[in-house]
Amino acid sequence: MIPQSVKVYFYSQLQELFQNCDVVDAAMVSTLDGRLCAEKQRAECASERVSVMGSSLMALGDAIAKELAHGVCDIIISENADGLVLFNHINDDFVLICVSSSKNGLGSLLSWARSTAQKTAENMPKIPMT
Amino acid sequence: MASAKYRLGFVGLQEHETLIFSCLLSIHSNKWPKPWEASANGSPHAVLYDLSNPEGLREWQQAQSHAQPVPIAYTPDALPDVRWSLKKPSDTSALIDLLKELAASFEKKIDAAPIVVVDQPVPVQQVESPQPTTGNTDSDLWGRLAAVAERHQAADADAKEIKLILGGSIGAGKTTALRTISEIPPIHTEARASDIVRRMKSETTVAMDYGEFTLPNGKKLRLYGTPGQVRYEFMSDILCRGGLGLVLLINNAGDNPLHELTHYLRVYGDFIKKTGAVLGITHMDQKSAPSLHDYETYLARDKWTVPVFSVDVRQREQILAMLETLVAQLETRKA
Repeated sequence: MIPQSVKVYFYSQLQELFQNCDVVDAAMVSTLDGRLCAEKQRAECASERVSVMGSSLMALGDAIAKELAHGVCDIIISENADGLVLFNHINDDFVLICVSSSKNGLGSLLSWARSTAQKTAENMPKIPMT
Repeated sequence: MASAKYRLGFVGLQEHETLIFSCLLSIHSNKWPKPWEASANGSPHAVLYDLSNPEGLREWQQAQSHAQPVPIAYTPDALPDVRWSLKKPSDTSALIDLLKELAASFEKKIDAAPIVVVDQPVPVQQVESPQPTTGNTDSDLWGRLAAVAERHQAADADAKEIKLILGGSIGAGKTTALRTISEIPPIHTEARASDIVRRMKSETTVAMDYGEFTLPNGKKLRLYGTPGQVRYEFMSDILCRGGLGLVLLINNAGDNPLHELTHYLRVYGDFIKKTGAVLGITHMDQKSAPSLHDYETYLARDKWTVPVFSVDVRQREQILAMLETLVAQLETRKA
C-alpha cells in the first residue's frame, strides 16, 4: 500500500503544478497498475477511472516502445476534439496524468507536466511497497 | 480428420441439449481411437431421437426399419426391448458408455464380414475401419476454427479480425495460457502490482496480452488476454468487440472462486450469449474445492451452457482440448 505521507507528497507536487500551469484542469498521480494516489481538479473529472485507463495506456506505450526498441516510453499525448490528456511516467511505479480542455495549451501542459514528473521523481521519498 | 470419426445426429432434442451433447463428444474425443462428433452436415452413423418430442418419436419409429444410421431412443421411459436407448436426462458417463458400445459393435461388424444389412445398403463411409490415431490433430482443430471464424465474420460486422479472448480471475494463468499457444513472442503489458495482488504475483496485466496463431487458411488467429482485476473491466469491453469466443479461466486457489465466476459471468455474459465460452479451472492441485461438479451445478442453475475443465495452462494439449470444445460449441451455434 502507498503510505499516506507519500500521497501527501504527490498532492503537494500537484498543487505546485496547478500554481504554475493555468491550462491544466485536472491532474492525478496513479500507480502503474492503476490505483489513484493523489488528485487535484479545477473541473470535474472521473479521476479513478482515468487513472486505471491511463495505466493501461502507459503499459501499451511501454510495450510499443519495447517492440520498436525505442527505450522507455516517457509521455503519451492524447489530443482529442475537446481537450488534451498527457500521460507521463514519473518512474517505474507511478504515472502523472494531466487533463486540459484547452486545445491550444499543449506546449504549456507538456512543459509543466514533464518538469513536474521529473521533480516528483527526484525528490520522491523511499516507499516501502508492502 | 473428420472422416476418421463416428458422427452422431440429433432429432427432436432442444437446442441446448444438442449443444451440451456436442460439447461432451468434443471433450471426450481424445479418449477413443475413433472419436464421436456431432454430425453437422455429413451423414451420421447413429442418431439420437428424443422420444418425448412428437417429431423425435415419429422419426424414431420410421428409423426402426433401417439399419443405418443406428437409431438411439432418448427417453425418460424404460425401453427394455430396444437395443439402443439412453435414459433421459442423461449423465455424461451413460452417454459415453453407450457410444463406446455402439462403436464396438460397428468394429465387430467390420471384422465379421459380410455385414448383415436389414433394409438398405450401408454407405461405404459409414463402415470405415478404425483409424490408428489418438483423436483429433491440431490442424483439424485449427481448420475447423478457421471455418467457424469465416462464418462469424460474415455474420458480425465488428468481426474484422479473428480473435479469441482469454479472460478470468487474477492469477488464473491467462498470460501463461496465451504464451502456451501463441506462435509469436506474446506482447505483455504488465505493471508492478501495488495492491493485494502482490500476495500472489509481483506483476499484473494492466492492458492486455496479445499472441497470434496462423490458421490453415493463412489468416491470423489473434489471442487477447484481458486484465484480471475488476478495475480493468473496461478493457474486456474493448477487447471482446467482434470476438469469436471466450476462454474463461478461474483460479480455484483464490479466496472465493464461485463468487469470481459470478462476477465474470456478469462481465462477459452478453458476449458468452452471443458467441460461446469454455471454463477452465486452474490450480486444482493446490485446492480441490469447489469441484468441477460444483461449477457445473452452479452454471446449470442459471442455465449457462459453458463446459467446464480442470486445466493446467502450461500444457498445450489441455488448452487445445478446451479450444476444441469451444469450436464444437461455435459450430453448433452457427449451424
